[in-house]
Amino acid sequence: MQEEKEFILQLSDPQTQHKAFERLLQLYQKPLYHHIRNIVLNHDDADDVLQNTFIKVFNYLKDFKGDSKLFSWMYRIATNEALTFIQQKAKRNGTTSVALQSKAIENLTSDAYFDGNEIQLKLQKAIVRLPEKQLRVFKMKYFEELKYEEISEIVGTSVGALKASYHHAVKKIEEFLKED
Amino acid sequence: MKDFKLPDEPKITSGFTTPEFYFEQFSKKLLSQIPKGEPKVISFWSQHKNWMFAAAAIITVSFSIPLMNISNSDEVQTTEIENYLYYYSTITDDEIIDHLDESDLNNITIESQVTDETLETILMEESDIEYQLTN
Repeated sequence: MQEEKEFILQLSDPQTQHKAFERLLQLYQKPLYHHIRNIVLNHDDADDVLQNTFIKVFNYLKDFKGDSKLFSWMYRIATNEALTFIQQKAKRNGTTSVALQSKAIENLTSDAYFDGNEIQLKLQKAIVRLPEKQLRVFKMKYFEELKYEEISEIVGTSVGALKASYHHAVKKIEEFLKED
Repeated sequence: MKDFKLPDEPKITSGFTTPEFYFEQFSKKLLSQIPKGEPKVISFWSQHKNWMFAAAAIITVSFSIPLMNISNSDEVQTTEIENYLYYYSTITDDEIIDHLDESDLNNITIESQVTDETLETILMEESDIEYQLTN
């Protein structure tokens, strides 16, 4: 905790900020990218959202009180940026976020940055059919391998509720995959 | 697909990929948008400007006080001093006369309507004039 406090101070101090931010990028750019990509699905969109996320992190650092851990604060920013992005994209296309994501999954094989095999494609198609909360928890637990405690800090739901959501999500996916 | 149990299966990854060197380039691109972190130079002026303003105000007022006094007439001051001495001083006329020198005597101007003839008459009537002139 002390180490994190010192890191936050380095990120806030103009003299040490640049180097500290470089370290922040090294630590979090990949996990945050994958978290965002799992929401927006498309690489170019994920790239845009990731940039926006880190710029917001940089600008809001001075307001960060340390009430939560740095990583969960950054994940929340990333999640909100990604969700807002797909909502705005859906609105521009005159559709809903759910419909937009379903369509993206159907066209996944034509995505230059998807090299999934048959089972990977089937899993993606099964996941998109889940209710929103189960979908988010499943991706964070299964793909991103975050701990329940970490997911709890990010989404603000109890560990017990998250375990239940994940359990239900897994059951539904197994049924969806059996249908094929 | 029969009895597919996700926890029992080998891990299935998302299938998402990134362009080659994406993360290296991302870091560089983002860091170029972040300030370099040069120490902020605070000028002496901006750090102490409140005190500077106060000092300037004091100096300005200090200079204006004697300027305000100079605008008063020297004559008024002299008259005030003379009046004060006339009413409050214990110095006698003889003591003042004893302290007058050549230049003081030359600066004394007397305006009088008395003619030389009148003056001569007054002096002739003065019985101890000889004493006055020699002492």
